[in-house]
Amino acid sequence: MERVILHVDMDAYFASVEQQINPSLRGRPVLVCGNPLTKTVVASASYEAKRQGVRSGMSIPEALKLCPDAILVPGNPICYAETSRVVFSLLSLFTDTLEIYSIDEAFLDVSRTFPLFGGKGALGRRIKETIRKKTGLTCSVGMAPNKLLAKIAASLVKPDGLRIIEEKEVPELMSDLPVEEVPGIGPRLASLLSDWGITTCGQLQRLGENFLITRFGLRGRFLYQAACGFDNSPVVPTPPQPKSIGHSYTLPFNTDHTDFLRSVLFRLAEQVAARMRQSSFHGRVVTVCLRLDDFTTFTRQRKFASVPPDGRRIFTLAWQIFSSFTLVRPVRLLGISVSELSAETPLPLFPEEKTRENLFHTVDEINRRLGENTVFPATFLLEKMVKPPVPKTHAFQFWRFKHSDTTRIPT
Amino acid sequence: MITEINEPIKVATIFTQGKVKICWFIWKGKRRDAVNTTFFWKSYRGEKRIYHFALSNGQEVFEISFCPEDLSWYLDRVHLK
Repeated sequence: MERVILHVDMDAYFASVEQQINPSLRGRPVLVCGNPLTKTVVASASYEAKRQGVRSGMSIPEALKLCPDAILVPGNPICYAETSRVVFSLLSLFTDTLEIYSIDEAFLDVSRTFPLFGGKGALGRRIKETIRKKTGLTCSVGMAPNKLLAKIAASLVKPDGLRIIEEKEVPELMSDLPVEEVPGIGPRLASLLSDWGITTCGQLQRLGENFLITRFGLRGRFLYQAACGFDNSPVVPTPPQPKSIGHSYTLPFNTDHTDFLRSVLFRLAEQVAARMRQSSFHGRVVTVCLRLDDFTTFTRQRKFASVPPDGRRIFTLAWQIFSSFTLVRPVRLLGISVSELSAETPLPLFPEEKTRENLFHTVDEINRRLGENTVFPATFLLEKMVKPPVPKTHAFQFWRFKHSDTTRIPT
Repeated sequence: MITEINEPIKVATIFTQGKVKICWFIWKGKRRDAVNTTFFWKSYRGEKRIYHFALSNGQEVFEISFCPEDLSWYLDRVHLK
């Protein structure tokens, strides 16, 4: 049986949703970001903005330098997540083997179902039309014998394209394909390869598997196989157990204010703990990530006998790690993650542990019924007490918030 | 410009065959016609399901939400040109 993998990638997803919500934004450069009154980055740029060089992850001043007419729109993550759910439920009409790859991407194994829809091209067009009719959004579809090639195919025809790669055309396609088009080869690696004079997958293939393994270890094997267009990975409908649970946060302003950083770290620890409790996980390794205002990033981790899903405990461990950093510049981003997760929950030995477990259960239940952060530790309020400086960039004048960024205090 | 409002409003709506057609709503004592619904999504506030609608009158876009549990309508945000 011919293996046919289909990759669906929504085009400039968040920006396109905003352009659907507000028709006056259509055809204009839109940047979806966090609250524009605070320091934030571009989460998604419309194609009109991308054409002027704006990319996701850029800081707002950097993006506005490239695209001064850009319209900043604060993101609406709930709307995007719900719209994704609608898109994925539409995709599940075409196969029972659907892997949700990210909020705006999915792989479908359509090997058994594509003949039912009149062939590969007809199926691709039908999927695009179904999504467009239901949501008004466009997507790019790639079809190929494996996931790697399907993803490459979709990326080659963005936006709103459909590309089918047949097995027989793979060698020719890969020989001329720029290395940065391969998922897994980022700008840094592409630049390193470019320094060696390697710019296409064909040149990478000619280096040989053994050389790449010697130079890059196991990653070298991936590089060689990717350069040849090989990929045996299956489409996995059920997400595997996560390797780690983490949260990070770009601060609204760069700071070295210890109390503020402490309260942010505490909130992140509580968020990680709440997610661990949802899946009944314990962990063993705590990692703290720190990015300074010059974008230098530090990551440190420590292994413990057990990391329970208790925000206070995770915070204490994370704060120990954080305190080992010497802050020479203001902090831009903080992150915590817990890894080496295990579903085996040790029974509480001491009465205080049992009391805290009951407390978590009650708080989680209240928040589940009445909404996130209906009940939260008072320490969170400290974070809101430090006010960010107001940016002076003219583009921020687009925005006025009557109740901006208000803290929900339980009544 | 987007302005956060979060105020209760009165809405004239036709519920028919599982679909919702919003005709107009009253905000600040003034009737605003909904020429078309540009987008629709759902969310949860705790266990409560909330239905969100983006309505355009050609000039402005209004994001309104409906909670079937307490039959309340809210004007969430206004996008001004």
